[in-house]
Amino acid sequence: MSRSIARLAVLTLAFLPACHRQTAAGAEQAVLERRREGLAGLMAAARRGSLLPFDKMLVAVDEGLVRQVIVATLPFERVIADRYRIRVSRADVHFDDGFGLVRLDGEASFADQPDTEGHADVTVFGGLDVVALDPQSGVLRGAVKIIALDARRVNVYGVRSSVVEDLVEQLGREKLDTFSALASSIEIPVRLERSVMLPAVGPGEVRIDAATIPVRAAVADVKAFRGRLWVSVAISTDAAAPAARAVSASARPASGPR
Amino acid sequence: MKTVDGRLVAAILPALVLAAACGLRSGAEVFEGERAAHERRRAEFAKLAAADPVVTEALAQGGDVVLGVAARYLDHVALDLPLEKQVHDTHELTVGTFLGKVTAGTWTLDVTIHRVRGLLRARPPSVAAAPDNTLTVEVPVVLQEGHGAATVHFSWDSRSLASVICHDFEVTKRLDGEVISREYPVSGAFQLSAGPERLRLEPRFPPREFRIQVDLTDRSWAEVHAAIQEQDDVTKCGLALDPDRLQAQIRARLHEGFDVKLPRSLFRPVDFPAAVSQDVTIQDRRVDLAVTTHALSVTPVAVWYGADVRTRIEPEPAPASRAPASPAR
Repeated sequence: MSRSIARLAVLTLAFLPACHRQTAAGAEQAVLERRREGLAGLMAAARRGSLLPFDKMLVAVDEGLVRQVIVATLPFERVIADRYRIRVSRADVHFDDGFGLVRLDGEASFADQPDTEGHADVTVFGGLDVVALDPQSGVLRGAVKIIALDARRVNVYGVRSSVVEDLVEQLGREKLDTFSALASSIEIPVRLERSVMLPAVGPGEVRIDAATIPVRAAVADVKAFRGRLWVSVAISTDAAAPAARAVSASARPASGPR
Repeated sequence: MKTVDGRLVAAILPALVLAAACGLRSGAEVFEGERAAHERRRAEFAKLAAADPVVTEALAQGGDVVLGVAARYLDHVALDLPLEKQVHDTHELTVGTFLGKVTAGTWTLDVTIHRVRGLLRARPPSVAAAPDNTLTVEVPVVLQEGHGAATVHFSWDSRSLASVICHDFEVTKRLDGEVISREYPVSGAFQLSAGPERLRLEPRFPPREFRIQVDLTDRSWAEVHAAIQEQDDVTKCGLALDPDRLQAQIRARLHEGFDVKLPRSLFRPVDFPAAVSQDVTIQDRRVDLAVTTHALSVTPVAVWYGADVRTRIEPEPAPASRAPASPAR
């Protein structure tokens, strides 16, 4: 009897990883949770009448553009945690429900083995979590936080490979942050200048020297819906300008980009 | 009946509880229910978003990137006017004598305003959208901290009778002046044009003259006063030249001001401080972009600039086989 119970315990524990987010169902659930959170934030803002704070400048970026620039970098490989080689070959981006979803699809294998030994299909789901202005270049930059990983075994000719089983199991145990190197930051091709140049006028009866007006720009609010990332930018030309800060795409105050 | 090992029970129970909970949480029914509820809220939000004028206007622009600039954005400029403007005035002075009132002479004032420096500040303008991608602007402009250099030439020409006792004299002083701060209403328009990367405003302000009123600094007035006072004795017709009265007359003339053209230079072409980049860096790789203007429109809500963006590079072809890869960054 005790042997049977022990078997049952082992079996139960073996199924526990299936409950973890690193499964298809878990990943979908994680994405849905983020969407629900984001949508709740949007609804609250819309009801307050401040869906898009628009005092000075608003930037709306289509999800297709961000998808396009990520796809242009594909395929790429990263070795994660010195253990796994992940080759990303497809990418998708959705700006909806108050949530900037970045999805990367590819294959994972053990880094110290040729991938012919076996590989798993992986899908990494990330949220475009923080958008801020790069203090040097003025370019809008988003940071991606990994929210779920789905690793699936690939059977060759219907034959289960122990290497692949092991790979999927180990990938499922890794912390999500481990996969951050796959999509740590995304540049959005909008640049905000730090000054406005006013050209010189003259010579003549009226002469005005060229002037440079410092512009302080800071991301004030970020939202994602209707296939666009909406970035409200506060701009000031005086010393009392808002301090630069990073803002979460899901409208929650967040720390600066990594 | 065998008893169950307590340690095994302790190991199994949490696992079973977790497994049961897990099964419940990830159950298809629960998930589908949550998804359906989410879809209902999405539909509700879509109605709210559709009623938002900023959202609808921005979406109507099209383009991969849309920049919207709220229609209230202007600059200030430092001004330096090499004027060489002349102010001229002349008056006859009469003086009472035992022979009755006689014309003592004529004083002549010539003031040359060499230069005026100051800071033009635009007060909040009223901006309105106009046809053909134009913004009409009415803006009160204030010349602040205006100051400059002036040469004051004062001459006294005695008439023949008075010249028996009065003598002609001339005084020339280089003095500091200041511009009396006032508001100048300026109206015109900005023509918007969309370049490949950014939005530009070209000013369309018709030439117009503005009256600038000047004064001398207290120190300069003291010098003027001292110079007239110096002439204020009997041999130089001091009876006629009351320094205070004369100074008031000179001041009044300066306050009348003179006309200066402040044409289009008040507003200069301005590029909006936002642009669509020609490249981005993703995963340490530079991606070149081709940017083309998609739309430009001026509405009461904003100035909208839309651009289409395409990547210039093709994705790398997949290698035939892969060796173990290099570590991540």
